[in-house]
Amino acid sequence: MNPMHSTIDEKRCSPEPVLRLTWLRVAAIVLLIMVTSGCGAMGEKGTIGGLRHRTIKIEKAEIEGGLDKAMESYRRFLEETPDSALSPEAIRRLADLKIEKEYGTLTDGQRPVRSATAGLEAPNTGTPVKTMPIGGAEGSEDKNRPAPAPLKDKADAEFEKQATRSRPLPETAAEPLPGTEGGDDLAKAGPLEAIELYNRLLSKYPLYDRNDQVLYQMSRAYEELGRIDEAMAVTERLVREYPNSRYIDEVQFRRAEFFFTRRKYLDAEDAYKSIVRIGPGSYYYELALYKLGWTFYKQELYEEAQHRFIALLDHKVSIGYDFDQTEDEQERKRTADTFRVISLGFSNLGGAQSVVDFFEQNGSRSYENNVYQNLAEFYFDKRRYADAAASYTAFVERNPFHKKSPNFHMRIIEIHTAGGFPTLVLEAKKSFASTYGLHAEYWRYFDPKDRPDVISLLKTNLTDLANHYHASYQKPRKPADKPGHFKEALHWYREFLVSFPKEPESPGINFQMADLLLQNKSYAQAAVEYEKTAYQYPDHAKSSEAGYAAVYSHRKHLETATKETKEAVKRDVVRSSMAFVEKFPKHEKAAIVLGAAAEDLYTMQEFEKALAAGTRLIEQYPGAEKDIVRTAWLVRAHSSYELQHYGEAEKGYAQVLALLPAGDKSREGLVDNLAAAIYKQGEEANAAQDYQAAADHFLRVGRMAPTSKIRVNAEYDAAVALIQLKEWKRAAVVLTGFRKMFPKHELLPEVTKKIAYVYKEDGQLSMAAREFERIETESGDESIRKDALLTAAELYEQAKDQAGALTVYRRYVGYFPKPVDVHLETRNKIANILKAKNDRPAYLEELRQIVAIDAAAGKERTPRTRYLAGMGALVLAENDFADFKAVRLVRPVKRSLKKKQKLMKKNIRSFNKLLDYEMGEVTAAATFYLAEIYTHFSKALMNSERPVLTFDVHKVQPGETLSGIAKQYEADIGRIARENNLNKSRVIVAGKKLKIPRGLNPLELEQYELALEEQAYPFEEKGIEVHESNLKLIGQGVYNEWIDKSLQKLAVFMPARYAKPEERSGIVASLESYLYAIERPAPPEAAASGPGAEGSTAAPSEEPDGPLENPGAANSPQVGKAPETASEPPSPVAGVGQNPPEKPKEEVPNATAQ
Amino acid sequence: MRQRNDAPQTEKADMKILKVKHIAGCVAAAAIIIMANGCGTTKSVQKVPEATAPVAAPETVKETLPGRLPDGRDGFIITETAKMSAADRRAFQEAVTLLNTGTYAQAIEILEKITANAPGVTAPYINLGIAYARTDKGEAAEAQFKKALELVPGHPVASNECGLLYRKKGRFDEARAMYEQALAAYPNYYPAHRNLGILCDLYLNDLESAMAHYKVYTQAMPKDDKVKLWIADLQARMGGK
Repeated sequence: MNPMHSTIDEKRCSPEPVLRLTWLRVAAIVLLIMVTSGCGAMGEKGTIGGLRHRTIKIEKAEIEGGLDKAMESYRRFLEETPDSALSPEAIRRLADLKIEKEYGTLTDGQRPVRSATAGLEAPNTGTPVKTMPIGGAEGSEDKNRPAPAPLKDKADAEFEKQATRSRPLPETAAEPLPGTEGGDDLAKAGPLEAIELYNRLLSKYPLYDRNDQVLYQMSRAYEELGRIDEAMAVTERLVREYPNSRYIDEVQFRRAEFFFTRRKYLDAEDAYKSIVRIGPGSYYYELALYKLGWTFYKQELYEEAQHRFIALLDHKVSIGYDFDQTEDEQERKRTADTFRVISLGFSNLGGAQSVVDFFEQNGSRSYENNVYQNLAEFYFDKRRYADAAASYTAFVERNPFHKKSPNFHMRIIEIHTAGGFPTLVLEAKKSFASTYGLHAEYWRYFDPKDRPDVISLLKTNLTDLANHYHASYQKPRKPADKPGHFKEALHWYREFLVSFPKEPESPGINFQMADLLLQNKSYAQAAVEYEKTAYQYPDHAKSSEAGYAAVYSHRKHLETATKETKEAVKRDVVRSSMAFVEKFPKHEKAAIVLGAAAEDLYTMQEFEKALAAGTRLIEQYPGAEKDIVRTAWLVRAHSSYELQHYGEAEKGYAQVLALLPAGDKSREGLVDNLAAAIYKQGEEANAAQDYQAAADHFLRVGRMAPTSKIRVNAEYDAAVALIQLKEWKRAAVVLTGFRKMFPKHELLPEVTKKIAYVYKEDGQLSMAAREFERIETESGDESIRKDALLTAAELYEQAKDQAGALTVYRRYVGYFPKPVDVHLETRNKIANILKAKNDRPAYLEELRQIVAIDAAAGKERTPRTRYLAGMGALVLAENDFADFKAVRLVRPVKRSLKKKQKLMKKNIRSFNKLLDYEMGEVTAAATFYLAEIYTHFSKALMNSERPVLTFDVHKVQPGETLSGIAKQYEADIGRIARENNLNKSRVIVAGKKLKIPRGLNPLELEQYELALEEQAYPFEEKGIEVHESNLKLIGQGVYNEWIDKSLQKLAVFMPARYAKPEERSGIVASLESYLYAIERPAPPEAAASGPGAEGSTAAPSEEPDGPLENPGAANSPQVGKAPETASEPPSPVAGVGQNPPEKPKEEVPNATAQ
Repeated sequence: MRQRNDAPQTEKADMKILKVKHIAGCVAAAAIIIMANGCGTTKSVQKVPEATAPVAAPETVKETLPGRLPDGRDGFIITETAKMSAADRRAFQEAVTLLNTGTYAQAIEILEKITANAPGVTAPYINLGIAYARTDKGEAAEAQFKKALELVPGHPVASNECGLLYRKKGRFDEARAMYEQALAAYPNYYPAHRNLGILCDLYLNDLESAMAHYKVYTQAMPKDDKVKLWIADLQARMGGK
């Protein structure tokens, strides 16, 4: 602080500008100035206004009495010293001291420091100027200021009044000086004396070189005394006489103020102008410019005024003033006042456009932004929002890349907001966001790092816009607006995220964007954004929520997906779900998401993954809801099944069923699944040929899932497996159980077959047979029916149930006449059974059928049918042959002979017909029988009853016997018995009369016999001939029992030719040696040797097996008795070792005849 | 009564030296049998078919004495070393007894065991074959005879019994081969001559061969008048040859 400066004690916050001119002389006086308030010293260029906040006290203690001594010195000098060059100086100093004593004003050639004008203070005395809350360094503290209270127009008037009013001179400055209170005249004595002194000086020394100073001091004195007009007159003289005085600017300024106050604007204008002309060198330059502006303003010469104000600002800029500085409050306020009046001026000139015009015409300024800003805020204070916004807009439009433009832009938004113009707010925000989005051109000129304010604003705006449109989308005024809102909201969300991908707010914004997309049913995009939110940012509060929402969105997408995209979308669902579960395993929905994913994987046939997911759910979320756990088990079961892990599948289904509420509708299907899983294990065991395990599995189906659909198959397959194992009884139980359980099942015929088979294999033949009968009834397939019946019948036969077999065979032939071969074969079986039953009529009837059917079979005739028919026909013929043989030639021989001959013809016909079958066996048999017919007939003739001519009557006497009577009459006892109808006992009673046949006499008889022989012999010859013809069949490769039989017959008739038994070797009795030796007529030299010569070796001997048929009995009626041997005892011997030799036997034809 | 035309017309037939046909394939070595006329010794030159005998069990040693036995009788002896336990030997004798009494089923049971225990011995196979043949089990019988013939090729008993079996079944050519096989090895086994003669006579209509064998037979068995009748009948049928 410069101690030489005088100070002015001013009242702070006085509604009026205080202009107190206090003159103090301070020569040799040290003043201790204590600053008790304010903020800093006034500099050389300080203004009066700048002192307003200071309270300065003048301490007088040390200098008390000094002025008086000085004045006394000057007085004495003037009184004692004749007029000299120093006189005017002394007078002046004395006068100054007098004033100084009274008012304490410093003079002494020092630059007076005074308040030149009160006008500069004006703007700050009213309502404080509002600064724009547009952020930035200087505005940051203003952000929280109260909302600006709008000023009324009278506020401008007030401002104007205060800004331009000067304090009245002495007549209004009634405020007494300190120590002058009481208003006594003595107080004014000093100045008056001073004025007197000054006037004396002026008049006495008109050429005194410091007269300008004298005039100046004198005007002050008048002023102090309140004699303003006199003061002005003095200044008038000073201006006129001393235009180059060093006090001229101050004086002019005082004059100007005087005029201004009295609205003598033209005078004031001149006075101010004179100072301005002096230039910045004048202490009053700025003040003068300012007031000059006001002077024009008052005259409504706004344009002129603006030029002065702008010139002032230009000057400020030229001297390096920083409009944004904040340190010098006073200076800032002063500048603010200037801007305020500029704003007023432009307001009067037409607003923002006038500013534009002004600068276009007068050149642009670096501080134009401040001008626009102040104008805008000026309007804003007046609630002229449109004008305020227009002001900012005018600047921003012309200076898009100005540093302040973003701030102004934001301020525009605020203004619209304050004005309640939502549409404009929105437009402004959009404009802002577009203009300052991080990809906008603006940032080619600025580094975002250097503009955190703008970035912050941008974020806010983008967020606001997105939120606004999002909200509008949610509650549109018109539904038709919805798409537009959606588009806008999405755009601004995207803008935000593109510009700020990694900001702390980004996840939240992203989440909201995803929400928007979801609300718009843009599910795919929503899912993508939710996933980004969940997984592409560091963990945040909504990470897991986003993860879940992503899954949800994918699922919604899936609901609307087309057939073509469904698969891909489902994959997304699953992928997102798995990512969610992986990252947020503790999310409350994790289990349900995992469960659903598992289900999807299953439907996508990703069975391994589905299995893993299901398993994971079960292991990781055992406490999850029952339904979810059940779903997991189900997926696990299904997947295991598909993967052919049937054991696992079974386990899974069992779990599902255990977790299923009673009465759940899906139970039935699940039971089927369980059954299928078990069933498949059975199939696998089957494939591995582990039939025991297979049977166990299949049977387990019945126990575990008795109601399952597949149980039918399982039971059936269990039976099949048991059959493989040959566990017939168990198989039978299962199969019969099957029949009871599923009485109408389509497999029943198969089951019946199996039961039949099982019974058969188990040896339960009758039961098997009944099943085969059942097969026939159950099947519609003719071949199956046929086979079944035949099998049933065979089984009955095997079970010795001939009745059963017969019934079934008969059923067969009744049902199936074709094919003929099988039909006849079956009839043949029937015939065999009947034969075994000795039901001869039925047997023969069956054979007749066989013969007839074969004969009518045409092309269906086969060698086999021919054989069967041939054999049947043979039997029938044999039957006829027996009838023929049974007819005995008895008296009357003629009649019986006729009968026999008739039968003979029939027989011959029958047997001849057999030859048509052209079968070796049948032909040989027929030949044999034909031969037999002849030989039998021959024999029958020979054995025929001889003719009887007369009867004697003999009365039986007591003691007589029948044989005695026969002997007595030389009659045949048998004939007597026959003629008298005696029974076998042939008992006769005395007195009974017997008829005694009397035969031919010997001669007659001999003749009769000869004649008979003549008749019979050719038949025998014929018979032999036919037998021999049978032997010829051997040459044709036929040899059978019939040929052998013929041979045996021939052996009887012609033993020398045909009775040639072969010789057996006999049993070998020794292990070590076999000796064969015969005795034969020894040659002379070996006569001594004989059989049994070797003592140790039993001589072999040979004996026939049995006697040959007696050749003499060849014609005997003992037909049918087989001769056993036909050789005589041979002489050779055959022996073995020490063992007794077996009797060698001769092989003979087995000559049996019926 | 009329006489049958099969009655012999001549009591004595001229005996001629015949050449017995060898049936190829039946016996590896051919045997030429030279029959002496009328009575007396059969002069036979025989090649013993040892070299061609089927593989016999090692313990079996076949030894034949061609033509005549040491005591001068007409015949031969076949000996072998039968390796068999005492129990089986006793069983064998028991079986022989049973066979002689016609108790075939029991004998078969015993013999089956013996052949199982001592497969290299011939006699049990032969007896088993005979037992089966007599119980009308032709196939089983044939199998046993074949086993015996593997051990002793041409064994006369096995061959003869097998020939009978074949004849009964109508397998005449096989029967003939079987007899000829026996005769090739043992030309003086006369039952085979008789049986071969009957076969040729009644079944094969080879009257010349029948005649030849009947003649050999009747020379060895001069007391068998029936065969002489057969020869006479045969001669008549052959037109007095």
